[in-house]
Amino acid sequence: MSNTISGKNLLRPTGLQCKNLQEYLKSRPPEVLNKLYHNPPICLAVFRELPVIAKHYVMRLLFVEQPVPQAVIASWCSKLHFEEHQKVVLILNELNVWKEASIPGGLPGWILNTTFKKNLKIVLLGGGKPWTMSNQLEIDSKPRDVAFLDSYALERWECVLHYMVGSQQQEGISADAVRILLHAGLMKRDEADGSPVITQAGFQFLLLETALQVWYFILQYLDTIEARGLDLVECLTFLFQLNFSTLGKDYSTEGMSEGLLTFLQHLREFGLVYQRKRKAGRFYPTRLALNIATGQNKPLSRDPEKEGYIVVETNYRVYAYTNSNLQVALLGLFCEMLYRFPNLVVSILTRDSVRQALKSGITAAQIVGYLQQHAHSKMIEAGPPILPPTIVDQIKLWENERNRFIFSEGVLYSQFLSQTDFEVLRDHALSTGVLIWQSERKRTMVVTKAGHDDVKKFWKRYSKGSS
Amino acid sequence: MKQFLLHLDETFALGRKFIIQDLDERHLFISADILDILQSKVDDLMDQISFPLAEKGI
Amino acid sequence: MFKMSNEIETSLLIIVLDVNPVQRIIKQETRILTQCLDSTIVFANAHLMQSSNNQLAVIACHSDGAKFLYPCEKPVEIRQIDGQYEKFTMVERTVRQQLQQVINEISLDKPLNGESLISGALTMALCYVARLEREKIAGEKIYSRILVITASNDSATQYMNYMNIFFTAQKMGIILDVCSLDQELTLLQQGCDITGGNYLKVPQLSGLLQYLLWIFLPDPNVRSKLVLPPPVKVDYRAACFCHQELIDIGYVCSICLSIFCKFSPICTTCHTVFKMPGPIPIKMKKKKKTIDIVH
Repeated sequence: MSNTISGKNLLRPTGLQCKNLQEYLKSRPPEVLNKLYHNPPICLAVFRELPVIAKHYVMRLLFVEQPVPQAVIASWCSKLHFEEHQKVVLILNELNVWKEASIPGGLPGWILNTTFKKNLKIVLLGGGKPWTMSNQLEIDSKPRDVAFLDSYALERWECVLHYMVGSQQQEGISADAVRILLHAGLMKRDEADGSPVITQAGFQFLLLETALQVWYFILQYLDTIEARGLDLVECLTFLFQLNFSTLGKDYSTEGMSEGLLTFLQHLREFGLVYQRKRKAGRFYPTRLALNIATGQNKPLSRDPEKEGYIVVETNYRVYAYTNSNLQVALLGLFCEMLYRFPNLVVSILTRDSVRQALKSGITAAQIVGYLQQHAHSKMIEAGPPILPPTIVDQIKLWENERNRFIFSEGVLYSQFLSQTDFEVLRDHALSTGVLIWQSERKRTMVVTKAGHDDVKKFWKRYSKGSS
Repeated sequence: MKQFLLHLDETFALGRKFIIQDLDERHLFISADILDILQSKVDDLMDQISFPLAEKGI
Repeated sequence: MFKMSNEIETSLLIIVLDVNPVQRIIKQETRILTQCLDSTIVFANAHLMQSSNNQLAVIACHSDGAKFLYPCEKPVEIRQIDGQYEKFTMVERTVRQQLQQVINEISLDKPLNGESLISGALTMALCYVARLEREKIAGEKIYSRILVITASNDSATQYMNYMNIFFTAQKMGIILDVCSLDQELTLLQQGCDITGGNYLKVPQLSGLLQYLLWIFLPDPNVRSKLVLPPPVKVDYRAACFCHQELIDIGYVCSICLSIFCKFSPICTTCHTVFKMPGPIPIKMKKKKKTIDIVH
């Protein structure tokens, strides 16, 4: 029944949909999936993103050649966690990691996808061909260390963000990057002069964690990849090779196809890899490229000064130890600025400032999330909870007070001639899950807009049949 | 809140009537094109009944 | 979409590998050590494969020492030679190289001792965990566990060390798993029981890797969700401090709780002097009498 009420909520901002790797792969057709599984790095990435129980199922099946009865696999998981087992089975099916196979004797069984198994074994045990970027290199005369790469990556990425908020430092963002921003719906062309301006989704994007931002951005980029004449499988494979590369190490560009080299230049622009010169023959992956699909649970930088800079007090004051205009601009989205010092900004969360943010489409959860992600390490040490609960609650209350109504779009049916007519139509709407509201006494019902056509057709058929 | 909407409807506060049908004590059927104005009106109401919590001074 | 992203969960696995060349099964068939090493390395990499946050340490121990094989101070510079994940190749090569060094360093002048210093390796492991705990960044959580893979007998000579280790581990929240390749290990089994780890005596050595992957790969918090073999009954006999033999009934020092199989007038641990136990029944009688008088 929950379906019937969940007509689209019109006024609440739709959250930025950021798929994780699993969801992304599920939305690919199975042929593509199988093509992807021919590449060890992708198999490893898929494996890492599986739920933890699924990982153990795969590990246990990795060295088994025949199908294993489904009942046997079900017995691996404790009865108390049967639901989790079912979920895992579904995911492994959807990702085409295993498939059904019958066992001599007629029992249903599962067997790991042979391509997936073979390539996961290669990752773990060795064998097969080396990954494209691992050609031998002479020692770099000017090797780049981790600190350099970190600051380079951060600078490049902030460049993109800066461009989005339109703050002063605007340089070095290519037309291509702008196209992706536009495609992703993070920016749109201004109706007046055609220059890109930030959208609601863009504001939400700004408040995401850097790792999630990168992943979202890459997903959008991948959408456009075929239009650019690049091969999706090749690029994805390369992306995951980067994902599993070592920070501070240089890799060779030798043997890479023309398409991949173009892809590499794009990655270079966003700071995912560092190259001294376009034709340098070597590149360094940066932290942005590492564990790209993991998204959560990954520190961008081990340097706490860069990561956590925000202190929130119970008196609604927000202290930000930062010099970055970008970070100040971001805080300014939902805080009122009070003072600015050389390394410190003092601001305050007020009802007005938060409402301002809510009006531009940012959700309370995003504000809280942002404050939490960038909380000063002293706040983390004092926690949990990291943020004062009163502040978190108040921000949520400010959001809720704007959402006193639930709006669902629908079409009203009334003035039925007979009670049976009404009931037949209502039951039909109910069974297809499009009914929002009904009253038997008033012979009135409301169905969702999406269901309207279907219900109308049904009604025509029904009334023809009965007359 | 429903009473507030009925009040807005009766007093033509949004320039016109917008409630198409009063369904029951928890549901109203309203015209879709009024949503934005309605939301801002509700915002205004919330503004009127709140007062600033934090002090900005010092 | 918004999980508590400040929390980084790390799962640390420390493998203690007994490489003592005089273990019975290795003396019978030297190839077995290579086979165990292969299985252990694959298992270690399987642990790293689970999540990018997982960490690994490998310690080798033999009759007169223990040494970290991984992580190693000077990492080997490698380029991929095949499709294996770079990090796994690195682990494999480091472990093999370091182990070779360890084995070369075993001096042949002294007679080889069949007893491995597992307790020493365990202590190193505990220290390593303590250091990581100290150095971790705010909001990081480390779940540590230690896995001992050995074919030697656990000797009661290290009884005190073991007990200290077990209770320290318990206090630090570190889980001790033991995988025995040859015989039942009563002492280490107690350690598993105390710290909440798993104990397994491998029934068939040829399937070592599968046993490792099934029983010891799951993190402690996943173990409750998977069906694993039920814990065996633990032999909780203590070893006496005088002869290091497991005993059922013995004498306990009333001051320091040291255990002896025979009565001795002075406790060897805390030097408390005991009175000779007189003929107890007579004493009892006397006491009763005095009590009567008081009445």
